[in-house]
Amino acid sequence: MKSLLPRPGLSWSTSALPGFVLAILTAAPILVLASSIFQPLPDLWEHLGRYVLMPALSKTVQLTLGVCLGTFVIGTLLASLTGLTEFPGRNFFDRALILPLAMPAYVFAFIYVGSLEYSGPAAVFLRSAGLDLSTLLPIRSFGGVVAVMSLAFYPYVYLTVRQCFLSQSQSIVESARVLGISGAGLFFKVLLPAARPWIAGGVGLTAMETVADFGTVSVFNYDTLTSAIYKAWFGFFSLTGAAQISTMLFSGVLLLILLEKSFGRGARFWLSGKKSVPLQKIRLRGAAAFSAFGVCSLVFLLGFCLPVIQLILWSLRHLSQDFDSRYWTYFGRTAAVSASAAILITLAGLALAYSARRHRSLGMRFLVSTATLGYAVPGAVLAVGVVIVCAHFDRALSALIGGVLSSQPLMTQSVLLMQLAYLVRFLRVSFAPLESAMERLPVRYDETARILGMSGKSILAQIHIPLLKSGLLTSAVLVFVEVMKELPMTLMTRPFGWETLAVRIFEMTSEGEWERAALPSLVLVFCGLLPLLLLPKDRPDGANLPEALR
Amino acid sequence: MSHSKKVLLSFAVILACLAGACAWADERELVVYSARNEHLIKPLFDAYTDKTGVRIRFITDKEGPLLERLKAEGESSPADLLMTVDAGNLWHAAQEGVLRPVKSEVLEKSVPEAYRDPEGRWFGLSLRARTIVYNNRRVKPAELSTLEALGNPEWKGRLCLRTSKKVYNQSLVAMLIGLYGEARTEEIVRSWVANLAAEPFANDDAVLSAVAAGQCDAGIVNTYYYGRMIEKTPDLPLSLFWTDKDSDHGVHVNISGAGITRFAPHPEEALKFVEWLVSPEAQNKFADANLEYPVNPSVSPHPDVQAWGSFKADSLPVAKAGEFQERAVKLMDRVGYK
Repeated sequence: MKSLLPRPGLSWSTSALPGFVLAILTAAPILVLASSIFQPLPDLWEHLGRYVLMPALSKTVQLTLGVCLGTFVIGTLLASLTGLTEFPGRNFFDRALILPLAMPAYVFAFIYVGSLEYSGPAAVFLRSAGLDLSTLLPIRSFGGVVAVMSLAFYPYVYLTVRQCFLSQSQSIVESARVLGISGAGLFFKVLLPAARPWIAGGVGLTAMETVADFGTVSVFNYDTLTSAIYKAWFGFFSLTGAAQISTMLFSGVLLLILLEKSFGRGARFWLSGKKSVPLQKIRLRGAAAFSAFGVCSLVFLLGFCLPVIQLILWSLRHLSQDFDSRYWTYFGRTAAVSASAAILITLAGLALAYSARRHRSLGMRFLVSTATLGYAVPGAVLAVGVVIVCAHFDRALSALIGGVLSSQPLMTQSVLLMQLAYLVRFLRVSFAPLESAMERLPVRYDETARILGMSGKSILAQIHIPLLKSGLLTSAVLVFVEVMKELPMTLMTRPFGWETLAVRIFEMTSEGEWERAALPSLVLVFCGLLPLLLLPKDRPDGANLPEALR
Repeated sequence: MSHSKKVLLSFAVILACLAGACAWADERELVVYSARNEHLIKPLFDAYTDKTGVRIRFITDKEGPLLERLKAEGESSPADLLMTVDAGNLWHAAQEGVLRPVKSEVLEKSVPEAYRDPEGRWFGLSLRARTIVYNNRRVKPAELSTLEALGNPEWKGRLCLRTSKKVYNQSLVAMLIGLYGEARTEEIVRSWVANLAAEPFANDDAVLSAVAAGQCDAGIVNTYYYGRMIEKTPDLPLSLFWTDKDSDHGVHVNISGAGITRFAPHPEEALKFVEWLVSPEAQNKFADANLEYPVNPSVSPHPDVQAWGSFKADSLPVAKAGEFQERAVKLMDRVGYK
């Protein structure tokens, strides 16, 4: 059957070209950072190796494993409850459980550390009741970081797994029943394994976000490799050293991605394509329904309600001082930039996923993985990479067209540059859900279409895209909220005077005025509610697939 | 007119317009890269624009990224002025060659020597004092003397510090190296770490809260954080202690400051602006916005700030903070100060 497909890596089609060009473009800043390894810094590394790296590495590994486990459990559990079962409130939770995504993780961290720490209001209250929280449940601890980050990041897993269940067809259940599998076995032996690419995609995003995080861990003063990167850069004034540690970090991530791909290739799950009947939800009753409701409520309460209430309380204190008409501009800009980036980056992710599907060579896999590594690099470091690439480009351009525009750099400080920077940073976010969704499209579709004489472009447009609808929407929503919260790239590449809500948060927090940062954070949460209206409803993909392919 | 002539003509017109626009825009404009917050600098920019008509465009970011941006942009950078907090950052920017030396009598007169670059590449604009804060219900001022003394055994389990990753502490330790040498400083910092009541905190506010809540008895903070917190919650049991009383050395001060960039398109305008910033007219606006101390000795601080008492600032040039920063960070790593 496979023989009808283009041979791996040999034949090039024009429809795969955009993805290829894109991959080279986004890989450029990453390669610039990697080129730092050619400037050895023996003194710095001697010191880092002796005092900093080993503890930082072990803490990074522990944290990443902890957060991956946490988000896997929370995300998969919640997605299974809302996607596979029916219980009172399911409709509400189905979407509401995505909401924590709208809040930057470091804001989460600040709220939880601020209120549970020894001097925090919750801890003070409990102490007056004779309960010492700081010894019983210290928030500034490994458990605390893992808990807060899991709470902030579980929606990645929830969203991707939810998308899997939405697009899963009832026939898989029927087939399993024929084989005598039912109940818990159905879930653990059939549905969960079938969701593997999605779970891997979501947990993978969580892992990359965790290793690249600086804001959250710094609130806990929990020293990971990112802390070492910033120590090299800001403490030792060595950007080269920072780039080298970053390279070490993302090379490790690259290795993991490639390994996951090689091991995961044995098991592939395809859409049955026969008849797309959505999964029938199991109606929960009694204690089961109550527990489902309880679990969802608890996560929603901790992940959204309580933090938002805290933000509201803080905002009210500074409302008269800080709130003015400028907030409309911040809001509009944030929404516009995030929306345009969401469209751009989702299309880019699609092009990349398509190229990766067409050319299953090791070289292509390596290129695609490198091109999407930006998500595993601390934002500020990556921003420097982007700016260096653009400055080179600018110089080359002005040399080409003569000194006419030399006083006015074209690339630096433009909205275009911002979008490119976001692309480099977040391509993985749109690529991951699309890659897993594309993996499930049967190769048979491509083959049949090819026999029917369809071109690569029209296969993408008429077959893949309709089948990937929920994947596309999921990735657009994820990119929207990511861009909305993004800070270092925005700060570095924005035009003069260009302020967004995230920039407002930075202005307040950089001098420690966390409470005043609550207002822009709160508005940011509202902004994050916008794209949720776009999320796919409970309808499977491919319901309107061309008749010939069914 | 032939087609190609038309194209040529319109191209020329566009070029002329561009050139005109550039010339016009160049005239009365300044571009500032600032690591100092928008709400602390914008009012000053606005005041200057009102007074002189010079338009100021700016961008805020952390020092590190701003510096890298300046370096990447090189000759084509639009920036005239780099404003940062912390002397170490200014020192580093000067080392990297992105700032230009300037000669200005006004600046030399208004900014004491310790708070500017000997070669005139950067100048302090406000002072930030870092000193002891204590819980006045649990500690008598007589128990306190110097920063070093916080390492004495009687302070075991009573001290709170902010993380060593914050540049304020890096500069503080660098200045201690400048005063006492590396070996003695290492002993001091080690003794602090031994006395910690809790793991180092992420920010000065957390240190203040911990001291106020009684998690520890004393900490080391920048005074404006104290001022801000007391302004909000006046009944907190917090007081400042100046570390110059029993010491040969003054209180540790750092600066926020500015330097004119090497490739500044408008260096004269930029210099005029910096000279205005150290004038009595601007100094209060600049320092008071964040409850800091004016760098110009002829200007008194905000009354609320004066109420914390007066102190003698240390005379060691703040440039040392940059010079010894790397050693300071390594030292703190060695003693396990996180």
